[in-house]
Amino acid sequence: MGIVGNQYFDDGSKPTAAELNAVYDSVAAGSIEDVNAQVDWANRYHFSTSNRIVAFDTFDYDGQTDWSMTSTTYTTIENVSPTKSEVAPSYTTHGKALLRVQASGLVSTLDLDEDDGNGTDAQIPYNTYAFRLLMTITSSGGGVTTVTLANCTYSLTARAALTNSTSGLNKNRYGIQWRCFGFSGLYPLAAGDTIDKIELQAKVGKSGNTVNIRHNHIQMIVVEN
Amino acid sequence: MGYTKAYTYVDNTVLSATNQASNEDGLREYVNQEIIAADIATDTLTGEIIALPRIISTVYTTDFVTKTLQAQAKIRVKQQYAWFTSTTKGINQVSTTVQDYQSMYDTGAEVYIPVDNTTVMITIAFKAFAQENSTVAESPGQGRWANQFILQYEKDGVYKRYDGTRQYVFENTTAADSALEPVKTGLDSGRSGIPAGHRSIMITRMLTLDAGRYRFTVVLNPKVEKGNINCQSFTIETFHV
Repeated sequence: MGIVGNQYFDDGSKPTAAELNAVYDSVAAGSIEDVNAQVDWANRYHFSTSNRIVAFDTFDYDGQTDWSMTSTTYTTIENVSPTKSEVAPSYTTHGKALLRVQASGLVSTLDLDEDDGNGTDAQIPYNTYAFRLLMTITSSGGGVTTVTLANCTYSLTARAALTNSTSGLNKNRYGIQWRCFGFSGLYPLAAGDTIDKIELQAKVGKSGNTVNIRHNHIQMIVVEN
Repeated sequence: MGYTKAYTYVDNTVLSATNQASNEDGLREYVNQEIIAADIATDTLTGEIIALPRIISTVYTTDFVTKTLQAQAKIRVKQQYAWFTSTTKGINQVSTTVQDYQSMYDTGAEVYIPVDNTTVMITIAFKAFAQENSTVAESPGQGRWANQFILQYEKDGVYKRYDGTRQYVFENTTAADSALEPVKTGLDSGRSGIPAGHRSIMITRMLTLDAGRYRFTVVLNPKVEKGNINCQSFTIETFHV
């Protein structure tokens, strides 16, 4: 539409059909442009609820069954087989979009194999366990890749994993149990990306250590604009 | 619908009032409320056309076009605690089973949902502290006492708790660690002292709610004489479009 002109008529003049049609034809043929839009005009009423500008998905395991984490490689949490801690939105972006993810949960009991390490680089894994959100994505070209969206690491005991103290290597009884974990992340998506799934995974730093995961949750929000 | 001219003028034809009105009505309706995406040129509209948010500070609310954000944040007022106690009901402190959930002051907000099936994202972060009991030794059976936090809402006088959001802080006992070997059942905080009595807690939950008024809060089943939380962040995001 842009700027639409108008006709000027004098008193007693006889307008032609072309003159009368001009304004209406101009509106029908044109497009709304920036000059046609006032500041602050668009409110909630103008946005469609059936064609949302955001996409959501969530996973909740609320039960009382522990998932025993003993692997030193990332493994998807699965409190009750065959239900894994993941969302599978199969959502394809329309344009560039921002993916926001959050995860949280409860660590129940711990079991250290030996102790929590002497703080050297080699023994940092003695006192660590970690979580991550792993996304499997298919690009518009068809290629399938995985992306770590966010991760976080906790120590089993009250000692810092990076300490250089070698005294008082703690044993099982010092582990911090029934504690919360939570983290979040952002990831820019390209146009035409399809989010196949996002998994909540975990691992322990040292073989022989055990961390039990109780309830856990994933939230996914895709913001298209 | 997009705009279509209702009547085409023809030379030397008497114009009826109806035809003239139809053209003007069509134009008026189109301009007022029937402009569609196809009528708008690509990349010509700027962000400033979207209405600014309404900020209602008394109820911690910012109402954007696409989303309502309600939040409390005490991270800059570190001494603003919400206190809790188990001594309001005596049996609470020696029972392993009694539940006496208390709403935590200064957590949560009241949310109005205008339409059914609205998505709400709740993110809570708080620092919890539980002091050592003065008269009752820790452990009704299973290590230190567990103070359980849960997300709750009230709607139309009915309460709903999300048990899957449960988190804990334990008595900040100074008992020797050697006496506190973890047990394999029940709740045992593990490490004594600060690791048990000071916990940073994050709760995230995405809900789909029907229309109505909801009052969200963190509730707690306390098991110590004195404890508190500093609600560093409690955000409720309601997505409208």
